[in-house]
Order: sequence, then structure tokens, then C-alpha cells
Amino acid sequence: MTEDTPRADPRSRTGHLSDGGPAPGAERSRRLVGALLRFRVIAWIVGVFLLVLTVGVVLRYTDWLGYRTDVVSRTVSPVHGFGYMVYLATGIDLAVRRGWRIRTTLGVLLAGTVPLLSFVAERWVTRDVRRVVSAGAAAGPA
Amino acid sequence: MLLRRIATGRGAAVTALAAAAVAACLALGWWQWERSRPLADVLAAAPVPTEQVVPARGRLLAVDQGRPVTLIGQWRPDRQLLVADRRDPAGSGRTGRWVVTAVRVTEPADMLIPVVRGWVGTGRSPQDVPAPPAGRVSLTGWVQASEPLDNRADLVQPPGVAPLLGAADLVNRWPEDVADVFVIAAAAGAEGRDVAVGTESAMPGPVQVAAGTRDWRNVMYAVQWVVFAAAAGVVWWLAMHDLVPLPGGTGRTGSPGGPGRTETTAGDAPRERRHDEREVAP
Repeated sequence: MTEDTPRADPRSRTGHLSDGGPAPGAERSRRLVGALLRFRVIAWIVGVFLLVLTVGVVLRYTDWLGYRTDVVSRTVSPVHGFGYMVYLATGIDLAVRRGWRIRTTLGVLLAGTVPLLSFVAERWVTRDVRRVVSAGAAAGPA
Repeated sequence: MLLRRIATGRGAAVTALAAAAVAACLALGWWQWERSRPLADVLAAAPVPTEQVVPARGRLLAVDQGRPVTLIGQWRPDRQLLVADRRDPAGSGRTGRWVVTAVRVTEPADMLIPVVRGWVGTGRSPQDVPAPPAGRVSLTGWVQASEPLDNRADLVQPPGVAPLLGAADLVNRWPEDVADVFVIAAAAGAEGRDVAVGTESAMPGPVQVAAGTRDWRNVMYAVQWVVFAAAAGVVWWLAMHDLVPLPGGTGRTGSPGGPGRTETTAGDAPRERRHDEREVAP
């Protein structure tokens, strides 16, 4: 995520806020924070399930640990699939509220399919949204 | 608005990409839906010894319909007949007859199990179809419940030809006990080399297969793929508003779909109104 520029002056974003950009007012900030929380919770759940699923797939198709079993993957994969559905929904919701460019949105959504990368994405998303919210607070109530 | 965006070169490219993604998701969903059918499960099961699923008395369980079995017994060449009104398994469209020879088993009881071992055209007289030599036979096939007597079968048949294949008919032809099932032999293996002797076409496959419940996992995967397809559609909608400037000068218009979104920023320089992260220069 090379777009991550935490040292940027948040007020440089205020030029587009009147254009329907993110976080001009307390109400929208509150909703953005709520969307972020929902995304973070499901991102962690999906991330953990994906790690377990990775182990399960290895157990199913290789002789790692000396035996094969499909119990782990058969148990986890349907649950993980539904988790990823929720991840997509919350991710899109957050992306729209935050006003990400499409490539950022796609990156965040697809990061949920790569083991460990979802944790990286979650950290980046949290910092990004918090920066915007604090920018809105600094700009004062609209 | 959307149509005008699609009409641009870039919009068409984004749309084509999104359509491919949606189609892929739907195809995967369909694949999982097909996989959820119990058909595959029963037919893919490892063969079990016939006596495990064939009761000494009584009917085959519905869940065992079409289950692969191994059958070990003795050919009874003197207990052979043809069964009328069967399609050519090779798909020629011709109607012919199944060749059925009994195998005597001792488990689960001393009885005969009819084995469908091939197909012949209607022109062949039952006496002209050679039977496998008496003796031990070991074959694999699919177990089927007896066909019921019904009024669709033409009950008037030449000698040596049965209108249907089932114990209800066979008990009148053979003095021995007859199982209330039959086995459709699979392609002849090493020990089953006599299975197809005298037949004309491919081996018939299983006819009736257990209609159990669908595999709920695959059903759920199918549902998930449909939802993923919908998500791809939403992302396409966002991408169209983000990447494709309207031919007329309007570019990206604020946060797409967000509250306070404005579509009418004509006159604004499109590129400069984007709040891309990269434009937050340090």
C-alpha cells in the first residue's frame, strides 16, 4: 500500500470535503468510525479463519504431520466463506463512506483472500480512516 | 449516465472485465450446485461387498440405490434371460435387450442375484446369446432395487425374454430364491473377463441412483459464489464512477454512492477533484 502517507497534512484534504468527500461533520465521522469498527471485527475473524483454513488445506492435501484429514478444511471453509461475504459487504460499505479510489477498494477487498495480508490491510485501513476522521474533527463541525 | 460511461473505451474495458468476473463467480456457483447433488456421492463411493447392502429378505435401502458393489459368486449359465425394451448403452438410439445372467451367492443367503452384463439388439434370439462358463466370478457393478411390475411394460414377450427385471417376474421363472435386487455390471475387469461374453454394445451404466439430500456444504458454497458475483457487480458500479469520466467533461464526482454525492459537477476540472490517497502529497 504505497498510498499510505501517514505524515501527510490532513488539512490538505479539506479541498474536496465540500464535494461530498469524507468526514465534514460529526455525524458522518461517527458513521465512518462505526463502519470501520464493523470492518475491523470481521477482518480479524476472516483473517483468523483463513489461517486455520490454510492449515486445514495443507492437512488435507499433503502428508504434513504424517497423516491426512479433511476434517479441519471441511469444517472451516463454509464458515470462512460466509465470513468473507460479510467482509466484502463491510469493506464496500467502508470504501463508499471513506471515498477510496477503486484500486484501493479492490486491494482491501482482495486482501481478505490472502493469508496474513488481511491483517496488514486491517492495520492500514484503520490508520487511513482514523486520519480522515481526525482531519474532519480538526476542520470543526460542519 | 451509466450507459454513457459504458460507451467509452475505458468504460467498455472495465465493464468487460467485470462481466468476466461475474460470469466466473456464477460459473463456480453453478459448479458447486452441481457438486452438491448426492448422485456423485453414491456413485463415487468405494465398492462394498454385495452382502453388506443386499438384505437376505426385504428391499434395498433407498440410500443404497446405485451404490457400487463387488459381487463374488458362481455364474449360473442355465439361469440367463433377456430383458425387453432397453436402449443401446452406446447411444445409437436403437432399442434392444439387456443380457441378464444369475450369479449364485451364499451371503447374505443362498440365492441368485441377477446381473446385467450387456446389451444385444432385438434381432438376437435369446438362445443365440452365449452365457459365461459356470464357475467363480468376481465383478464390480451397481446395485439396483427390483423393477416394479407396472402397466407400462409390454408383458407379452417371446420365450426367454422378460418384460422387466425384478424378483416379482423372476420367481416365476427360476425355482431358486431370487434377491429383490439386481446388479448392473461395470466394465469387465481382470476377474470379470466373462462378463460381457456374447453382448454387442457398451455396458449399461447405473439406472437408478439414490436421491438423498444435497450436500449442504456445496449448497452454501454455491450461495456464496452468487453473493461474490453480486459483490463484483457492485465493485464494477463503483469502478465505473471512479475510473470513467463522462464523455462531456464530467469526471469522477465525489465519493460514489456516498451521502452528499453530486453527479452534476460539470465545468469542474475532472481530474483535480479526485481525492486519491496518492494526491495527499507529503
